[in-house]
Amino acid sequence: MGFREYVMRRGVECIVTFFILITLNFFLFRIMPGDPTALLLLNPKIKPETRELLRKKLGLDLPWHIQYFVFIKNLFRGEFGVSFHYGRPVMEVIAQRLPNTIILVGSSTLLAIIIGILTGAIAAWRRGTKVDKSLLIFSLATYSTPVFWLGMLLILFFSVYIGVFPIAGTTTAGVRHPNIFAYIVDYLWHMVLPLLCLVLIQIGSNFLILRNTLLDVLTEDYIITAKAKGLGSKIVLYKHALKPAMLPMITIAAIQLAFTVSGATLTETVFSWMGLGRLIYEAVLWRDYPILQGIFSIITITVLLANFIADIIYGFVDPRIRYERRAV
Amino acid sequence: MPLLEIKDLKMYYEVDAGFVKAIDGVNLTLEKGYSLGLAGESGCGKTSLALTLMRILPSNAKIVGGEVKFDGIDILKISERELDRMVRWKRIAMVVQGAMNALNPVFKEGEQIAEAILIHEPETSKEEAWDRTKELLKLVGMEERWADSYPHELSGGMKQRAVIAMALACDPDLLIADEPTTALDVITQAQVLKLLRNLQRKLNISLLLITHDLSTISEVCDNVAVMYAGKIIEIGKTYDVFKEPVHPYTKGLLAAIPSVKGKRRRLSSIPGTPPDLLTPPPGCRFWPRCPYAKDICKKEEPKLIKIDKDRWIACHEVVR
Amino acid sequence: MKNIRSKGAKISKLQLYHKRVANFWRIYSRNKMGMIGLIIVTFFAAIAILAPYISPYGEWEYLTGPPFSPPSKEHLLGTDELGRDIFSLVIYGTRISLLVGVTAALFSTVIGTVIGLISGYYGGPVDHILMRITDAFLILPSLVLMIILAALLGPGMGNIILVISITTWPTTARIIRSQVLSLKERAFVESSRAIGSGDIYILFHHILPNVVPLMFANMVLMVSAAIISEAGLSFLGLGDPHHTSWGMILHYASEHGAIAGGMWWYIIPPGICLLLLVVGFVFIGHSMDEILNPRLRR
Repeated sequence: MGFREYVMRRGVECIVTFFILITLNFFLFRIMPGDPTALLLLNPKIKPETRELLRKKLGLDLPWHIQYFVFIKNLFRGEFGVSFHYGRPVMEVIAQRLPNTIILVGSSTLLAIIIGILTGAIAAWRRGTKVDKSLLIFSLATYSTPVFWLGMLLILFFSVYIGVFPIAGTTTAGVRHPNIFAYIVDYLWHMVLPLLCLVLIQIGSNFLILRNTLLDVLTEDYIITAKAKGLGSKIVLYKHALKPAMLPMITIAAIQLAFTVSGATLTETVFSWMGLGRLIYEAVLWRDYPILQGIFSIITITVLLANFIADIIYGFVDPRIRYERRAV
Repeated sequence: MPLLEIKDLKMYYEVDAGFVKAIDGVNLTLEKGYSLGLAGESGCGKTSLALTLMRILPSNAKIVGGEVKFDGIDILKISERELDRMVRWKRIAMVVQGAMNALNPVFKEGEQIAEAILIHEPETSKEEAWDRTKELLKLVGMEERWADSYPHELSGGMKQRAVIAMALACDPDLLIADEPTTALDVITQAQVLKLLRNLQRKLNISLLLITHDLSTISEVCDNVAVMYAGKIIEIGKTYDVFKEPVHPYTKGLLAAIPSVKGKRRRLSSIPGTPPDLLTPPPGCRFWPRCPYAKDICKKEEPKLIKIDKDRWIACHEVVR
Repeated sequence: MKNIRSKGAKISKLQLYHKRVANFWRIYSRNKMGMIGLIIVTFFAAIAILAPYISPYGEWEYLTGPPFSPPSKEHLLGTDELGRDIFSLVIYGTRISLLVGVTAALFSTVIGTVIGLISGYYGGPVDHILMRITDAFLILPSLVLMIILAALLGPGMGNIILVISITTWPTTARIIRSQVLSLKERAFVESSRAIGSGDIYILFHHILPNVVPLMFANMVLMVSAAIISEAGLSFLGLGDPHHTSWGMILHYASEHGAIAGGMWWYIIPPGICLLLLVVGFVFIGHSMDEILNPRLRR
């Protein structure tokens, strides 16, 4: 099938999945014990006028199948109601926290992908040697470490004992920075430990996947031919072996980037990094269901979009999908 | 001086249980401009031999002994770099078993052929390389436009031709073709064999054709060497060997080819199975399946001895 | 017909399985990584079973010493904020981590395998619908989903197990499904159908036995994922407060400022146990993968 058909098929699948997830979102927060949506109206922090406005906007007194369509309509307008805890629109709260997560998790994911790919390639090429074995053990160990514990250890060591990095927060509390550079420096200084924590945890799976894929590719006949052509091991590895092995990595990388938005909830909690992940934790603590529901929706959209784009890129890059078979 | 002289070559694979003696004392000679067919069952070591000649063996393979003289130089002793720069593809090229997969699916055919040219003759410009690529495709009977396509767009036969074209890219002296026709249908097989034969004559290349299919050897090769369990057991001119095989194994192989002509007879086959190369039987490796086996066969390995002009045999029964 | 059947059945099915397992064990016992993993897991299992006998104090014994005290002769790992002995807590924590991990992985694998089998074998619209649902779950970040579900359902061990199972079965389903798809095309299935065997028969006699090894390897890796998930959920305070798990210990440690207080004895041991146990299962799973996947072998 050609490229166009491929795109359309993926598009349709995405839309179907989207509706499944949105429906799940809708029902989850309505049928769970405690009926969160009803609680929305009982929140004493909201003024009576706001309450009426909300009731109308979210259509809470309408029969539920109509509520469903209202819900979807509101979703596309970014209307998720008002946070229990903050008393402000959910979208506003989310928008405030989102950049911190994107910066932290986006950087760590990119770093982890690059390092994972390079080390995976080296390990696969030198399969069975000490380099391979030690990289393998290192990756399996970091893969098995609970991320929040690693965070705690890093803080314990670098912040409490050595005192080089701050214990928590996105920026130093209560400080007014004289200019934008001071702010950025303070921000980055706070970002070092959580970034390190995330990168260490994420490297493991990238390494393992690339190593396995590459090992598979290296058994192929076209690698033997490439070696026989006298191209030299560097070219054989980086050009002929890595390129086919990278194809599945594109999808994986895209999915990981998609998870950026859900943030690294545990890491952000441990480091008190004011991002979306930590917001999830706080919302759970305060039973702030509008925020949870809003985040669920945002994540659904982001992840679906990222997957769709990843599939498009994959289809574009893999010539087997892009070009149909012409000869017989 | 012969182009290729293999003397007492030994190559073993190291596995958990010990050593698999895939090539255990192989002697072969190939003259310039001639074609030699290497025949044998699956697992007898033929492909291992090809990989050993090009020294692209897996990491658990060890060349234990012997020498391979190519144009006078022992290519087992020179360094990887020299191999890459001087020998591989430039002087010895290979068409691997399963040419279907010999082309990298993410690059165009033309790119892969041109790559060989550009690597070994760096002064060539990209346009020149591309022109030569198109010439090569024409040489193997393909249209020029296929240079721009990806491997999955071609049929099996065309992929085989493209791989042959790629092998000829740098004008090698020796072409090793490992099972070039196995996965093809009969008609395409005939076309590819004809192509190989013509190319060999026209370009005066030496050809080492490795296959289990004796009929392909009879169509293409001047000489034939029969391999069994890691050893060469018969060498001779193709016509002579096929007309009058001497070694019991060769006799069995040829007798097993069903004939469409003549009287109807039962299919004959050689009883038993090839030996486990991890622990091969002592003496002659064929004795468990040989109808003429005697005591000496079980104890002493027969050496490859010349019994006539251009005829060698390794067998106690025949050589007396 | 009966004669033909009984003539060929010289080796009973049980003996066949026994032989297969014995073969597998022969290869497995040579695998260094796999054996180390097995030893680790057995070690922790023993601790979990013998917990009441080997731990110096009870799980709920408060004020056995001053709170937050560092390691000493009476308290190998010091005490927590309620004066409980941390060493005993860690020992008891083994039980929950293992219990939840294995149970959740079991449920998840069973659900995933059944769905994978049905989806892969029957194909068509059934497959499409099931795969869309599977994709929907796969696409969501599992931790977030787990957190939301756990928050909605409330604390309790059953809920935790449920939540983990619900979010992890899709991975198994996908893996089993692709295995079934490739098995379906194989000759022995076609010939079985040609003889006239019914679908259920083919599923149970031909496809399932070939899927079981993959299922096991996958389940082992699921256990490690489940253990980490339980730890994460407990750490966030969504775990079962009636039982101690390693995650819960770290939760209380974090809540009561153990990090800032530099109380390494409170923080390091539970984490190391988590790390080791998970590594144990990962080693087992990885070596099973190597054995079952011929390409990764030499």
